[in-house]
Amino acid sequence: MKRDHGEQKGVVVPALLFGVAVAAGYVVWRVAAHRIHLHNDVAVALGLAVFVCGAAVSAFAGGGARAGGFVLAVAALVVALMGLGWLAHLYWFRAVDSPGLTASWTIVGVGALSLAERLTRRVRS
Amino acid sequence: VILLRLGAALLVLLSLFGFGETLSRRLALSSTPFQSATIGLCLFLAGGGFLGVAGLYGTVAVSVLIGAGVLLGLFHVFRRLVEQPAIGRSEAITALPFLVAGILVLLTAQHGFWFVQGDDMQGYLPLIKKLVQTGVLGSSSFSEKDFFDLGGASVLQGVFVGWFGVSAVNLADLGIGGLLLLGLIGERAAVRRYGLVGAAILVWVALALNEDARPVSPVLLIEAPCLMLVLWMWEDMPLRPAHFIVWGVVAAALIALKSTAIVFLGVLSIGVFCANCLAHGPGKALKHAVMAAVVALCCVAPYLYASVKYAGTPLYPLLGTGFQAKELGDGMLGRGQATWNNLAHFVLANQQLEIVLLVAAGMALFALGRAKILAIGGIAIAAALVAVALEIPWATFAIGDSDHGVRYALPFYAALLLGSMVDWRIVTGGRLWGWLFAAALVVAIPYCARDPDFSHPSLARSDFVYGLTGSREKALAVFHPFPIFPLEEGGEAVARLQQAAKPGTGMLVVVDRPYQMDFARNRIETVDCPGRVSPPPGMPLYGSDAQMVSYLRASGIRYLAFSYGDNANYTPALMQMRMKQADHPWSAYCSKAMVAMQGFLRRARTRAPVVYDDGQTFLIDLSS
Repeated sequence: MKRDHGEQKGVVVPALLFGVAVAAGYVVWRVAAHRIHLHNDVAVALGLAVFVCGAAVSAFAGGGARAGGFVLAVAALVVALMGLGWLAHLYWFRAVDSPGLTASWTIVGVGALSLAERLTRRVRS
Repeated sequence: VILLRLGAALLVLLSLFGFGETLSRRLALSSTPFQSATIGLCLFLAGGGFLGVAGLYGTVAVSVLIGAGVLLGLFHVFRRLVEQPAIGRSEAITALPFLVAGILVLLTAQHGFWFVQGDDMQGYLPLIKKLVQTGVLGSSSFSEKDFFDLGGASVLQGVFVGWFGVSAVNLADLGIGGLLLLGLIGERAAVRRYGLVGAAILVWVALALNEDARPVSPVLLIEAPCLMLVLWMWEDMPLRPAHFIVWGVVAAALIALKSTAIVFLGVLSIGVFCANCLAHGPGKALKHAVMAAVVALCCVAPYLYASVKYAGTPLYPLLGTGFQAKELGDGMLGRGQATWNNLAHFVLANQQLEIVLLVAAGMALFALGRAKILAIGGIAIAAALVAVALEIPWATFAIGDSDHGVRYALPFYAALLLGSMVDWRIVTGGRLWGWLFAAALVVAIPYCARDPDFSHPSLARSDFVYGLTGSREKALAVFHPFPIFPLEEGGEAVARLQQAAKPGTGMLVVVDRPYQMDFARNRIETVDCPGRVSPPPGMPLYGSDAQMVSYLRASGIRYLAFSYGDNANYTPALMQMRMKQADHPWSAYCSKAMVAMQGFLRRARTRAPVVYDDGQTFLIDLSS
């Protein structure tokens, strides 16, 4: 059985790995925020990063390399867009915002790109 | 006892499913099981409202009603089992996280722990107990809690309070409301084959968003019907005539649960009307709109009637401000104070505002790329998000909520966000943009909770610890912002106090546990925020003592009770602190009024005969 063609594997191992990813992300966030005393937003970002890596491993175990790569690619794009949103917010409002706010900037960005793509397609057709 | 309570909650859910499924089948509406149960909840609230107005609400009456629903539910479950194939493996796997979350939610809800001494103990709990023991809906003329909630939640809460006592009150909102919300999301996730990971993420987002959505004032009971409407708008536009009948029933239930639902319902209804105009023409669209409005008006009529009868207005503050003290003006702050600066202040005080507005903008951009009718649905949902975020000043100025009204907006934007997340493939078209949208929503949505900082101590966690262990010490170790009082205590002391009053007479009580009174023996009036609601011409709280006494006598009050030993759980330090809070007009007003009320009660004790005094609480007789 090939592992890199997106076939469905068993659910137990991916589920366990996903559980570990959630737990690891949570622990990293709590430790970073309450033990190392990093800013809560930074701690949340670190926890999310650990969770995303774990989720990618879980997707790899369940669906093969393509699924794992897909999760990582989506996560990387989200992080990139969130970073842009963060910078935009910092530039316009001169304030550091929360991960929730950068994520919502991401939604605006993605919505605008999606609309631009659809309009371009309509014009071409 | 835990199993008994959990079993009762499941029976109520089955009963609601029975009612809703019957209506759905009559209308040939293909509802999912949890959609049927949500429709059943709305029908039950309408039926309970009529029972309450007729004075027939009671444990026996609602037990018969629930029993009839259970029989209907069993019949329809059997019918579904025969008609539909068994669920597949992938659906079962997707359902697993929802099942686990449902059990945890029920365990948390089965025995309430976290109740505040003001809103809950003086306001909501006595009203529910009064409904159960007297059978009459919204019959409190001195309590403000039915004023803008209209008492819808108490109709379902009364079922559990009647069966198990006040400690089971959370089985209604957190229990039934939570199960309906998880069920509605879980059904969609199963149909769309989200898988274990996707389902777990959805469950986490739904729970994180609602982590602090309590105490007794309903939140999850509102979210579930709202979510059903949002899913219809994403998936079923243009709606069929059967949808409009159910839309009316649901709208009535939402207004009965929380009158601020009018903004959410108004914006979505305009969207549905416009889409209907495009699909079927204005004539048919108008016909459907009238049909929905007539159904809604019929179902909400008992609540509006009770509000007119006991509070002086069918719908506060849109259709009048009712019997409140003159110095309150035309709202908690008065429209004169609703300046642009004040409005901007309260709008910007909402920490979730930017997130909600940005998500709404993103959704509108996605919606603009869709076909016309579907685009209208998406834009209406985005507009509803903006509208409920901006209605916060209305809640603050009219209702005067102490949390900038965010509590009144949460159930509505929670439903809009969760519905859009469940249907992210429909919202976005389902390609790479969709994945990015969904991933960003996972991060953004939990930050729309009441307290967006995830490192805060959680009252949901303390409730969960208590529900699981029954240990007050362990629950208090998780979260104790101020003293939490055991619900079950104080019953004997209250009974002794009440024995000193003649049966059938009117009593105004400012005691630490008013919900322990026997509401059937005497006409008990609780005062959670003095002067906010009172029989005409309005309580002369800042007039002379003689004026107060003659006003209370004229209002049918013979006895006054006051827990002077502990100031009815309001410590002087807490009240002094709240009176200074300019950003919390409701808290400031109520604390000032409570100080005035307690001062009057202390002075009244020296002038009227004391018929009972146990060193903690006194009862005085105003008749002589």
